[in-house]
Amino acid sequence: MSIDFINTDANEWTNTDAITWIGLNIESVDTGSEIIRYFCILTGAADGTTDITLPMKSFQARRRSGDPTYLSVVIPTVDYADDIVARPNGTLKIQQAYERNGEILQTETIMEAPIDSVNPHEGGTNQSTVLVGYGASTFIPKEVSLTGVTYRATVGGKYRYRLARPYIFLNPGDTVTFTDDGVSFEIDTMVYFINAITSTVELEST
Amino acid sequence: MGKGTIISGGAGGQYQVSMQYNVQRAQAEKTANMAKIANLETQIAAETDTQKLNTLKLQKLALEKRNEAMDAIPESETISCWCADLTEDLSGDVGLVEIPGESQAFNIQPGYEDNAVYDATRDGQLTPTMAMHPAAAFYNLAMLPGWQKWKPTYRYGTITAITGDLANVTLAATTSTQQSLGVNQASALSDVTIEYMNCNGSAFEVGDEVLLAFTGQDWASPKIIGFNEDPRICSCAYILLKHDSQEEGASDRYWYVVWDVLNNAFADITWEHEGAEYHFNSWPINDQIIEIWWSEEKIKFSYFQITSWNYDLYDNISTSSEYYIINWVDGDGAFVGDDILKVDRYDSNISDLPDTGEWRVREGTWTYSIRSGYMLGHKHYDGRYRHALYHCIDGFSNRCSIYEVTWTPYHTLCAYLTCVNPRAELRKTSTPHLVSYVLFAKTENVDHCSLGQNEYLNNDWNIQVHVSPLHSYNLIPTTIPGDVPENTQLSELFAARATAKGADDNSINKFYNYSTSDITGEFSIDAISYMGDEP
Repeated sequence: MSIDFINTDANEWTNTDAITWIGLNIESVDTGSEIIRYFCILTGAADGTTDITLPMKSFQARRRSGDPTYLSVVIPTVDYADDIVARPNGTLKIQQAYERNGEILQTETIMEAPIDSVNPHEGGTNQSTVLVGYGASTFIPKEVSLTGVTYRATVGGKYRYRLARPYIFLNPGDTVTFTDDGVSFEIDTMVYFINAITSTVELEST
Repeated sequence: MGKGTIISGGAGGQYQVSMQYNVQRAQAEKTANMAKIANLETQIAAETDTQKLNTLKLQKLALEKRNEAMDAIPESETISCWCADLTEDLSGDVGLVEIPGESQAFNIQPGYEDNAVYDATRDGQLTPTMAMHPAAAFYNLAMLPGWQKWKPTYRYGTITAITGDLANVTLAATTSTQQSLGVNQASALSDVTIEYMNCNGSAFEVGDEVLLAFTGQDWASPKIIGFNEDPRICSCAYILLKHDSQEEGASDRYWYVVWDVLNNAFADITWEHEGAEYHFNSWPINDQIIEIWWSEEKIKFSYFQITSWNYDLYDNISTSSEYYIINWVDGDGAFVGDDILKVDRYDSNISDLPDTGEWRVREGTWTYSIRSGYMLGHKHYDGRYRHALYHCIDGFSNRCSIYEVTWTPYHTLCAYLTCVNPRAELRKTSTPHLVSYVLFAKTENVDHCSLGQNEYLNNDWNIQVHVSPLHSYNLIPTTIPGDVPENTQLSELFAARATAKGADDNSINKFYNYSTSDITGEFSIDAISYMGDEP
């Protein structure tokens, strides 16, 4: 399978990492021909080692421009303990990718946060590891037109729009215009709830 | 409320303070985590099951990361901070005031009478959010705006009116960091009690930015406890009179009297010095240790040194031991004319009535900016005030400054040696045959400290009055012509008159010269309270 990268990130994803994808329900999110994939990478440079790609069961995040981004990643196993322990000063990166017919067309790091806490969870039959990171990033504002709103709300005078297919380069601080209803606002916070079943990205206006 | 440790500073009441955070909980958590980590290391060494081993390793990493977070919590932060009152010798741990109950603005508790010393019950201690339990942090943040509004602690405000120890205050707009909610219950407060050092309201004036405390965190119980910044000293508190009998070696050569101006009474002084406690309440005394008290006391003074001189022009002053007691004639501070302070001469038992050589302290509102200055002079038998004037008290902005008095055999005037940036002042220069008095006036906020004549010339404008001692002239006190608004250039007031007198108006400095005759009864430099005899 050939992979056509349009990748601006230094940590290129390879086909051998396919098992780490969160496979999204195509019917619920794929209104075009691409499937959205997310990857979790734990960097190793700060600890003198290599980056690793961790399998994700889900992740949640709140992204802000200038203010700290909160990122929580659920790894559905404790088998990566040695890898994680070897990278205690690593940075969690979430990459978003578009896949078409098994080919990754584009990947982009959409958020990153230095690892802040590591929380192993044990149940009767399963274990998981929750990695939490906080980190501030500042983005250059731009204007973006979007469609495909799945939910609209106005809470406290602020818009909350949810997308099933977020634009890969969308960042807090951008001014977004929805062609569906003509509403336009500046994004204050982007809230992510992503797992294999559902994918929600909520945009909160300033 | 918080805890700080003085690092340096103190001049003018401003300090560098190390704000001490309460990190006890974080430190306790870290200690507990260290014990857990040690236990986990033991378990890891013994564990053979891979799954359990992985979990233990992650648990250990989790604790190590948590301790990293604990280590990152700052234990202190250095801030620049004003004491709410003019206490300049603070050291050690002090209580901090946060306005409006969170880390937005800081002051040090008023330091008068050791009040600023840290008191855990009163001052508490700030706890970093990261050092709190998450539930506690959430609760505090959620409750913060309501607590700030309904259980107020401290606010800033501006005095809009003042009467005695009561003031009306407009509060500074104050919002919480949480949701930017306004936390003032009202925009203004009336009849707010002033509690400040030993002088309360007399240190304040309209327009002052002040620090308010709410007693019992009750909005209905505000009081002004100090200044936002640049705290002002209380008005002159004491006057020290020192009599020098000129008897070299005599054990009682010097005698002292201290008058408590604010209380209009002889001073009652309790003073600790090098482990001993002194109580001065019976005057006069000839214990020179009072001079050490004088030098150490933080309240500023005016210092009148009465010395017996044998010069001809002072022959009316006895060389015997006499004590000159200041009698505060008008205790409310509203002094007018000669009825301000009076110094009566007494013999050593302080029982005689003043004789014809009456000492008096006269009001010295000799400039447009000095609200009350006092000069100590001797009233001669001919009814004219004569020299023997040594120091003046400047009541400018209720600040006490000591000004050296200059005098000549024929003229005695107060002049400034220190810079107080008044809007106008009189200075004297002299030549062998001419004594010049320079009425030197400037707008506010213009620094001028030099006594040099050139400095006068370099300023925007001034007025020079030449007075020849060979001519008879009269500077009988007259009324200052009304209130002169701030920043009024006196040149405007005098310009017309100068033109009429044919003064030299060519100077770019607008330097006006007047002949002796010009000034007779003309200018209101009566404010200088001329005290010389006619030659």
